[in-house]
Amino acid sequence: MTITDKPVIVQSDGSILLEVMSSQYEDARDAILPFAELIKSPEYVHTYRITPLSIWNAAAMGASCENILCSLKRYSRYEIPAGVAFRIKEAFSRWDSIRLVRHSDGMLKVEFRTRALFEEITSRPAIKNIIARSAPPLEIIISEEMRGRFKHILIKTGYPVNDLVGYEQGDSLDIRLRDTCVSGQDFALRQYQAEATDNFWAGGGPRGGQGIVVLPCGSGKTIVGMEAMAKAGTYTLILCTNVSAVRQWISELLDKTTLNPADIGEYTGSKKEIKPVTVTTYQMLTYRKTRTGPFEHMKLIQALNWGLLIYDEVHVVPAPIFRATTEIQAKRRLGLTATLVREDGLEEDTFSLVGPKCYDVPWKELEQKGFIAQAVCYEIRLPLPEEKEMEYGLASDRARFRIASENIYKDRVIKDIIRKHADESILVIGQYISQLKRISAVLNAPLITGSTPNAKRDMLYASFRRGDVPVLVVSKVANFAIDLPDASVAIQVSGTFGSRQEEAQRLGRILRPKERISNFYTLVSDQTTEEAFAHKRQIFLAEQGYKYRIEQWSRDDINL
Amino acid sequence: MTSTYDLISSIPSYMVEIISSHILGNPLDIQGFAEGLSDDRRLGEIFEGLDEKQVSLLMDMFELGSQVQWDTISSIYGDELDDVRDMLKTLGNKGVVFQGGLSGRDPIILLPSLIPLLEAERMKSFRSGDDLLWDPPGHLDIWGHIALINTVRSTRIRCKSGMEPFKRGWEFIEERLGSLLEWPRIYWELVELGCLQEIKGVVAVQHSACTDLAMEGDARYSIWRFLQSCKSYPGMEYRVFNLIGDKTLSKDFFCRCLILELISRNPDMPDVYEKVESLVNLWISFGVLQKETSGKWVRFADGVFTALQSGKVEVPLTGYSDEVIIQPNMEVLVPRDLDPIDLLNMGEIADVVRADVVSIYRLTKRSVFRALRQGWNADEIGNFFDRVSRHDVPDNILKTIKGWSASHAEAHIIKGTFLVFSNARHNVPQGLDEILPGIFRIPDKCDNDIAAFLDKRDVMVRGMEEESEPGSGISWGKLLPMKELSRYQCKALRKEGIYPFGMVTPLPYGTRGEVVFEEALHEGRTLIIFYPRHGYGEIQVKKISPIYMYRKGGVPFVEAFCEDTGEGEVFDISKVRGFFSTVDTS
Repeated sequence: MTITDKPVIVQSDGSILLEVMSSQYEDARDAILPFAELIKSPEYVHTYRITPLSIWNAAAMGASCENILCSLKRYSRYEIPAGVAFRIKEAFSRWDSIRLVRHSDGMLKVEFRTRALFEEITSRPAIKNIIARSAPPLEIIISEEMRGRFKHILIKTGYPVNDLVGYEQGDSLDIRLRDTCVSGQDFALRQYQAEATDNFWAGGGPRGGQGIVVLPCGSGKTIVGMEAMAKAGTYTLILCTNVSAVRQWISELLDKTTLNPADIGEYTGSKKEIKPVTVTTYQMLTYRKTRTGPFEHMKLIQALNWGLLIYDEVHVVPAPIFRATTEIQAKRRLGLTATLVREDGLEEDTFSLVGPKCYDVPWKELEQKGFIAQAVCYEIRLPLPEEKEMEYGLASDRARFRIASENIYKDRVIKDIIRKHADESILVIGQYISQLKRISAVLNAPLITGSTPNAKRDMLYASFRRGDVPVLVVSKVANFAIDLPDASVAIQVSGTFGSRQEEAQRLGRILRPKERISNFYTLVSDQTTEEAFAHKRQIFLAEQGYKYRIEQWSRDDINL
Repeated sequence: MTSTYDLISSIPSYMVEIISSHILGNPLDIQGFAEGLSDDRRLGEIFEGLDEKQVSLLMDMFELGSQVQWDTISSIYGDELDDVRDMLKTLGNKGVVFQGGLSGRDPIILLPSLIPLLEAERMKSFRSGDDLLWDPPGHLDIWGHIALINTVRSTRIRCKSGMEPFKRGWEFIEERLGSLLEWPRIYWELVELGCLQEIKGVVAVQHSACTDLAMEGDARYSIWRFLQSCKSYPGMEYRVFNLIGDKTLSKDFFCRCLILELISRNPDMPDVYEKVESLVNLWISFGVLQKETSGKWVRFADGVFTALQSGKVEVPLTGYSDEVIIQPNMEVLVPRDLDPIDLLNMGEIADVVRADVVSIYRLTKRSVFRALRQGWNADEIGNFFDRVSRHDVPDNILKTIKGWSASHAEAHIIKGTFLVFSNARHNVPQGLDEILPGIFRIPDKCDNDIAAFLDKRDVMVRGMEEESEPGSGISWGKLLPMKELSRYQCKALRKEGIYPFGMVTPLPYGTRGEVVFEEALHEGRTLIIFYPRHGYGEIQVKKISPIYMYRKGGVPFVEAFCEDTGEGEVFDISKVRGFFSTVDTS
C-alpha cells in the first residue's frame, strides 16, 4: 500500500476523512468504525469523528488504545496529528476509572480508580446529593434509583461510568423468529441486522443491553427489534410515534415471530391492552389532562415486569420519556432510528439515557448491497407565477416561505412526474393542508392528513398497497412509520423549512427493497426562501450518499 | 593589519630590539624583526608545536578578523579566561599574538604572516559536497498564508489601529486556522508583506499583493523568512553568505563562526550558543540550508546562493496537486499542496471552514456571490472546478452555482441619491419612490441603511463598498546582491603601540603594583617600565634597577638606577603604565 493508496486522513480536530474510491476503503472503514462515529457519507469522502464517547464505546467493546492508534497509522495517508493521539490516550485513561457494581445490601457501589478522582467527583454538588453514604478512600454507595441520574451527570462531566450492575431479567417470554413468515415468505435475518443485534446484545452481559441502532428506513429496523426481543426472551414494551406504527409493529410481530395475538397488546387511544408484548405511542405515555397534571399513562412503564424497552424512531423521544427512562436503567433499552440528528439538539440525552449508538451503516452501502432500494433524488426548480412575485416581495419571511411552498406551478409539474411514472405507486407529500387539498383535487387522488380517521387511513393504505390507488397525497403524518411497500416515487411539494429529520423520513418511504429504482422529487420555487431551505435538506441527503440532480423549469416549460 | 611589517612598525622603535632579542634571540631592526617573525620555517615549526586548544584559539581570532577586542575574548571564553590568558602569553612569547596597547584590555592581534597557515587550517572545514548524502531540503509552504487570506475574505474582521484585530476577529481566525499553531505569526507576516491592509477599520485583502504571494511565495518565502530571522542580528545574512558561499561547510565550524560573530557584535548577548543552534536548525527547516545526512556538513540549498548573490529569485516549476475533492454536500476538500494560485482562487469561490491536514471549504450562496463580485461567472467557476477536481464535479454543485449566479442581484447606489437595480426587484426596500423603471430615489442619509438591508438579502451593492486601493504588489523587502567582504580589514591601532601579548603588562592597581617593584628590588632584577614623560604625556621606555621605595603624601615612589640615562631617578609608581614582564635580570 503506497502512501497515496491510503484512504484515511486524520484531521487535527479528531475527524477522519475516508476516501470511498480507494481500493482500501472497506478495510479501512472496518478498522475505524469501532472507535469513530460516522458523521456524513457523501459521494467521495466520508467523515467520521473520534470523540470521547466513541473511544469509550470502543473500550467497552474490548478495543485497546494501541490497536486504535495502530489502525489509524496503518491507513493514514499523513502523520497522525499529535493532539489526536493524545486525546485518544486521554479518553482511554478515563475509561473504567469509575465502575458501578451491585452492593451486597441491594444498593449500588461506585468504585473509583484513584483517590484524586474520588475527591474530584464526590466534591461536585450534583453528586453529593446522590451519595447515600461514602466509603473512602475509593468507594461511594448510591441507591438503585439514582443509577440513571448518576451516569447522566458523570457523562456530562466527561467521565464514563462502566456500568456492571446488569439488568433485571423481566418476566420471561418465549419468542423466536420464524423461518417462514405467516404470509408464506421465507424469512431470515440479514447480515447487518444480525450484526446490529449482536452489538446491542453483547452476549447478554452487562456491557450490552442498551444502545441505539441507526439504520435507514426500509432496511428492517423492526426486525432488529424483534431479534433483540428473541434474544432477551422477556416481556417487552415498544414505544412508537403513532397508531399506524403501533399496528404495523403488531402486524410484523405476528407475521415474523412465534408470538400469537394473545401475547401482544395495543395500548392506544382506542385500546388499553397490557400484555407480555405491549405496543404504545409516545403521545399516549405523555398524555395529561392539563399542562401541569400527571402523565396518566406513564405508569405503563411500571405496569408489568418488562425486561426490554424498544424506542422506535428514538430521535423523536419527548423529554418526559427521557425523564422516565432515567428511572428504569435496570431494564434493557433498544433505540431504533434512521437518523440520530435531532432538530432540538438532544442527542446527548439520547446517548446517556437510552444508550450509546451501537450500530450504524451508511445508507448508500445498504443500497449498493441491495438491502434497500436504489434511489435517485431530484430537485425541480420552478419559478413563481408572475402575479405572485410582488406579493412575495412584500411579504414577511414566514409568509414568503408559504407563498413559495404553495406555488401553483407545482401542480403542473406533479402531473408531469405522475405521467412519467404512470405504472408506479406515487406518494405526494406536503406540509400545508390547503395545498394538499388542492393537489388532491387536481390529481383526483385520495388525501391522508392528521384528521383522517385511522380506519380510513388503513383502508387507503391497503388500497395503495394493492395498487388500486396509484397516487396518495399525504401530509406530514406520513413522515413516520407507515409501511408502503410498493411506493417507488415520492414527490415532496412542501416541507418543514429545512428539517433534515423530515427529509430522511420522507425518503425512507420509498427505500424498501424493490426491483426498480426509486425516485424522490422535491419541488422548489426558484429564487425564493424555499430554495435556501431545500438547499439545507439537499446537503443532508448528499451527506447520506445520494446523488442530487437538479432540473430547472422555466415559465415556458410549465406553460407548454 | 595588512602585513607583518606594518604591525611591527607599530611597536615603539625603542622596543623593537628588546622584543626581537626576546623572541628571535637577536636585537633586530624593524625590517629584520618583521622578516624573522615571518620566516615560514619558524612559523611552521611553531604551528606544528601548538596544541589543539591553542590552534582553536588562533582559529577563533582568525575568524574574528585577526584583531579581537578583549571583551569579546572574555565573553567567548568566560570561565576559561585565565587559561586563555596563559595561552596568549605563550603565543605572545613566540611572536604570533600581539596586544594593541597597555590598558590590559587591549585588542589582541594575530601576526599577519600566520594567516596563510590559519587559512589552510580553515580550509579543512570546507569540502566538496558531491560525494555526500544529503537530507532533502526543508520546504516552507505558504498554504497557511493563503488560507488566512481566504479566511479574511470570508468575513469582515474589524481591527484596531496597527491592524490588531479585535478579540472576535482573532477568534474567527482561530476557529478556522486553529490547527495551524502559528496563525498569529502568519497574520503579522501578511501584514508586513502588504497582503492585508486596513480599510476603514476593517482588515482587507490586497489583491495584487496576494496574487504576487501566490505566484512567487513558494520560491521566495523561505529566503524572506531567512532574512527576517537575521533581522535581530545585523549583518548576519552577509556573514552566513560569506561563510558558506557555494561550498560545503562543517556544521560545527559554521556554528562556531556564527557564535563568534554574535559575540563580537554584542559581548553581553545571553544564550548565544543556543541561539545559534536554533538559528541554524531554523534555516535548515526553512530549506535555506541543506544538511548532510550525518548532520556534520551544511550548504546552501539549491538556488539559495544564486538568489542571495544576484538578488533575484528564480521561481521553479513545481509539481502541485490537483487532487481537490468536490463533494455533493457543497464541501470542497483541498490538499495542502494545491497550487497557491488555485488555493487563492478557491478562497474567492468558497468559504474556509477549517484549514487542516486537508482543508475544508464550503460553497455557499454568499461565497459564490463574492466570486461573482470578483469577476467570476458560473461557467468559469465550473471550469475551474473541472480542472482541479480529482473526480467529476457533482451535477448538483454546478446547477446550484448556476442557479445562484442567475439569482445574483446587483444594485448601484449613485451618490447616496439613487438606487439602480439590475434584477431581483423583489429585494427593493419598501417605501422607495420608483422614479424610472428599476431606479429608486433614496431618502436623505438612508443610503447606509439601504445598503445594509440589501446586503442581508445578498444583493451586491456597488458604490458603497470599501474598495481596496489599487495595490502596489507584495513587499518582499530588500534582497540585495551580496558580495564577499574582505576578511582582513585594517583597523586603527592604539597610540600606545603594539606589543607581543603578555610581554608588556599593565602595572596592577594599588599596592599590588608596588609589590612588582619590591620583588625586583629584593631579587636584584632590572625592570623595563613604560613611564609618561613629565609634562608631555608621551610614553617613554625606561630600563631601571630599583634601589629604594618610599611613600610621600601617601603616594608610592621608587628610586632607581636608569640604564638609559646612566643616572638615578625617582619614579611615581602610580604613573607607571606598564612593564616589560619577561625580562628578569640584567
